[in-house]
Amino acid sequence: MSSTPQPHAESTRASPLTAAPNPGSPSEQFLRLSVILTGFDEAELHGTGMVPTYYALIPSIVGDELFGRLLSRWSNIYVRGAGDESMLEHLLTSELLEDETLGPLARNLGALWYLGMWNQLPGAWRNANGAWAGDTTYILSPRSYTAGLVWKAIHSHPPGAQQPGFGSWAMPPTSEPEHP
Amino acid sequence: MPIPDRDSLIQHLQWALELEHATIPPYLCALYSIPDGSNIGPASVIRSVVMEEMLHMTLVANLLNAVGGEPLIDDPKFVPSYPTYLPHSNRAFLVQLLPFSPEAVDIFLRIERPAKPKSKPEPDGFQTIGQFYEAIAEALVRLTREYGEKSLFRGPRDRQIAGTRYYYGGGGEPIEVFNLESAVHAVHEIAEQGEGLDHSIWDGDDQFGQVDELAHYFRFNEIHTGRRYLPTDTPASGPTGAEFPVDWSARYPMRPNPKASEYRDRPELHRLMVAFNREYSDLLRTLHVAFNGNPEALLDAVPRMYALKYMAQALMAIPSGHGDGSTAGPGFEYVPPTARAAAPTAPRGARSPQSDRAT
Amino acid sequence: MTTPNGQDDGERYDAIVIGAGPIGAHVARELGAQGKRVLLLEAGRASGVTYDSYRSYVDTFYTAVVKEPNAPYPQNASAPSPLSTDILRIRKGTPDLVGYQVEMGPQGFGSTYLRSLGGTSLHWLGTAPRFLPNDFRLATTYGVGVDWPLTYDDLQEHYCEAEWSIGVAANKEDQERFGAWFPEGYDYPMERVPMSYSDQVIAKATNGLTVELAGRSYPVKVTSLAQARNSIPRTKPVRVGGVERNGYVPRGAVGQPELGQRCEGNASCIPICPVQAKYSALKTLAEVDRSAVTLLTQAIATRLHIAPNGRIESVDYLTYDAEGGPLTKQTARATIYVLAGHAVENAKLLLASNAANSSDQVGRNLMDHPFFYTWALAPQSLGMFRGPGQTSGVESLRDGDFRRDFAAFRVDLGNWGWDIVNFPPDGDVTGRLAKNIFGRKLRAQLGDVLPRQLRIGFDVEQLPEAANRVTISREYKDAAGCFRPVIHYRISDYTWQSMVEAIRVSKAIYTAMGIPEKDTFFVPPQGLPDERMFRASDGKDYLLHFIGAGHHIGTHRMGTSRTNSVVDRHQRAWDHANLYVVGCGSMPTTGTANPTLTALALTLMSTKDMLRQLR
Repeated sequence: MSSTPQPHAESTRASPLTAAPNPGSPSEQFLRLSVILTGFDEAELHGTGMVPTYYALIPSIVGDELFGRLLSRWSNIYVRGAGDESMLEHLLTSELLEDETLGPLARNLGALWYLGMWNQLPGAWRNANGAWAGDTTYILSPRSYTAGLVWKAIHSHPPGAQQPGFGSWAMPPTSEPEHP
Repeated sequence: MPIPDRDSLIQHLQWALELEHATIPPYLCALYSIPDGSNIGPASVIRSVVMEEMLHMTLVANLLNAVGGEPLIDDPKFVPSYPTYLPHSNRAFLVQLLPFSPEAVDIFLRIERPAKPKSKPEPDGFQTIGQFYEAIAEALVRLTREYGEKSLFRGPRDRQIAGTRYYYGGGGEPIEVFNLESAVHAVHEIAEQGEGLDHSIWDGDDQFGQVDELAHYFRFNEIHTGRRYLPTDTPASGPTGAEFPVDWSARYPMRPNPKASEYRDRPELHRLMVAFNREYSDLLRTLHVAFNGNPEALLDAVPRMYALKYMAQALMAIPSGHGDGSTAGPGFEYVPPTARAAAPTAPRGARSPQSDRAT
Repeated sequence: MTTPNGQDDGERYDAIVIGAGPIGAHVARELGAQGKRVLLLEAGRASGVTYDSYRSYVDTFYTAVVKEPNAPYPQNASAPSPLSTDILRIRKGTPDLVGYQVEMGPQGFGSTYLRSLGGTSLHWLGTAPRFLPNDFRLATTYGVGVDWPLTYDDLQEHYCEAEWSIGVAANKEDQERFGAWFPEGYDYPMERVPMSYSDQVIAKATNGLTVELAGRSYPVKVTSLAQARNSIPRTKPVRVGGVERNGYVPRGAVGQPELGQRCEGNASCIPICPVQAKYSALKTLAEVDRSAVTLLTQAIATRLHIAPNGRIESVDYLTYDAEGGPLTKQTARATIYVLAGHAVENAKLLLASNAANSSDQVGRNLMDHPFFYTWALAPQSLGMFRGPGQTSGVESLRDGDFRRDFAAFRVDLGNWGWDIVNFPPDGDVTGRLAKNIFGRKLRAQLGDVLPRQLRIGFDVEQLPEAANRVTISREYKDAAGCFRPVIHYRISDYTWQSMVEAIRVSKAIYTAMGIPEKDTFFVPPQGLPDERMFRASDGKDYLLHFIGAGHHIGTHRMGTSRTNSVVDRHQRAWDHANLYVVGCGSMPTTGTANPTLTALALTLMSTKDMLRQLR
């Protein structure tokens, strides 16, 4: 791996077949975790303009320690499953999403990307890990709302933003440009 | 050498179309590099100029159609590769795709610079756009005398874009061109919105019931100087009004003159850049169809322009990977029809305008 | 205007108009245009009147977790508004006290309105069809309900004026049905808003479809919707109410007129149009002659005073600075008084003032269009979640002999998927994540399912009933010490039976579209506050539900005599010669049309009567 500071440049060059991939910096790990959770690639995630905001959000709500655990568990999965997507997905489910502590955090990260919203963690989670002051259900900002990936996923736009223009609704629906 | 005949006039009006178009991508790059909600004043200035440049393209297409020409837009020769000289200018400066920046505004000022008093009409190798349009205006008058008005303006009226059906949101109303008077009116509208009327800072636009607006050059000069013009100001006085807040740092640092080919080794980014270029080329196709006898196709152009805006804004948030903190951006590169998305939307001109009515 | 506590401000106006929503704004504009001196009182705040402050509403909407109709607009303890989230299932004998409205039941009255400058027109959808000729003579034609003291023809000219005043986009030929007609040389100011892709799919699939209602066959015909939303303007000269108009120029956003000259497809009409392509009263307020009209916001009218001769002699109002903060009592006087504060607020003020109620009809006959809906998952993409909330409807079931037996309805073909069913897409995302569906699979599933979501709604007619009413009680007051509305509401069998018919209509449409039965739905899974098992005329039991349509009608109805109504055909109170009570509350029956356009037409007619009084 090169030492270039651009995380996206990194992973797109990383060949899936290289042995023992480097898990990369925390921000790279975060971005890769976001990619596998959302199904949007790194360029698309960067295109929302929300990468730095979301990277900073989870530690600001539940602290660095839990966020560090989330990333290190993910890195461990990434190194073991690199190059084999179904293996990665399997490990992500069994070792991260089904983890009582880390699973709800990962799901919240997915929802954050899709909806621009932080959902208050489940009651059982708060009993076990603490009721953090910032852990309430809220939409981060007008920008996070309009950046919600769900609208792209359904081939539309956030209601009230990114207006598609007069008469666009009369045209046949389009899907995302197909991947080459 | 003045424009000798109709064929040459048609040629020059096609150049005018290329010229008007060549200014739009640089303006759009600056505009879309400004995140929503920042630099509200400058963004609004640039947006207003873009709206008028689009009107100018339409006015030129109307002129071209009126004298029996056929606008050629969906064509590789129509689209410049940035950086570029203004088509048929005296090649005094390069036009670049830049993010919002003093350098970008400097280029905008040079594009819109008013002609010096008593400068000569210049049909090729012009110094200012005003000189170029003076040459066209002169030719229109002379050739009308030579051919007769009916014969010079022989283009079918139904190829004209007119009225408020397609144009809204500022920028004015397209002028239907069918005789010398309307043709000269259209040429002056273009020149005055750009550089001002008779060496004043105003665009003399009040015939549409619009408030008199600053000509483009002076609007950009407000950004350049960070100060508003007062109604009493002149080109010589410069702006002496209130401060005009400009935050040069509130913009995405787009790498200049983006090209999709630069990012072949970044397939995810490359795909988005190509997608933008395809959509852009489809927009040119839509305009081509609209300006060649299917005005109704303009209704499809608006959704395409919005789609381009959101694609451009996304590209500008993606790190370019050049290690300099810059981001990617829209290339505005021509993609031939065969290489575009599999099923482009049928232009509306091909359908009846009421085709969505219930049966 | 500063006046000492409890003092008359010394001015005497020609008219005092209470409420600065679409109706009040029109009254103020019309009277002001004739040089009459008008005081326009609005209980809510003025924010939203500049372009930037309106944008603050849009930002509030973006960050609202629950995007209900009043979500973009600031809550105001001094002039509270009802919220759709306040409606609970009412247990027998236990009123629902949550929020502003006190709900006595048995059904919850789920409709909301907004007390802020511009009123509920800020969050309305903009649907603007006319009533049908038979809607004005229901008793005569079908032996149910009551007749209006005027006819479709009487309102014709005022309909035309209202359509031009708010800017309605429609095609005449899609509106000419059941005897509805247009004057020679008239046309709507704008072409109909393009029908959505899903409308086109439904129209094609249902071409030629008929349904049977009470033994007769009716076509299910999809046609474009009349709506107060900017579209392509008509430019040919037309005649509007006796005046030559030389084409129409769409009005964009207040303070930023180059924006909003066309609907841009923001798909957020309810609760807010970011570009103001949808009509709101802010546009009419911008046209008011401010040299004639004084607008006073944060001014809550609390009481009308009646002189011994029966005329209204003054109105008391409370002003406030901070919401919920201290209040200052003031009094103002005028020649005429116009209550334009919304059906519920008008009734409240009359009851609090013991005014206009010799008929005992004030507050009674409260109606809405109970909104019943069904939904389905189409086999192919309908391109949902695009465009205005509704661009077409089935208007061919709005009248017929069946109205002797059960209510008519206007069918609403939604463009926003299962919007009110389960408020997509939040639950669609979090629900899948909870099941460990993530990544490309999540993206693909959402992209596949949501564009196929179809929801059909029914604005069902309701008959006037005296027991359905707004009352006040000393027990229930708000932070300003004003009465909270106390609502008694029960839907009768005439309306419930229609919901059963609506199920049949839905099934016919879904079948025509080739939607398998397993993908069609008629009963909300979580249950709704307003839900009931109903034994229909076929002897079968149906679990039915409805939500409020936001169409408050009937609380100060007009009629032919002082014994059967609160106001006359000019919306003038029978009991007080200088009092007008205007708006949807004056309408004796609901028909099936969204009521704002008709309320405006009635009010434009009333302003002519007001000007006669003020001459």
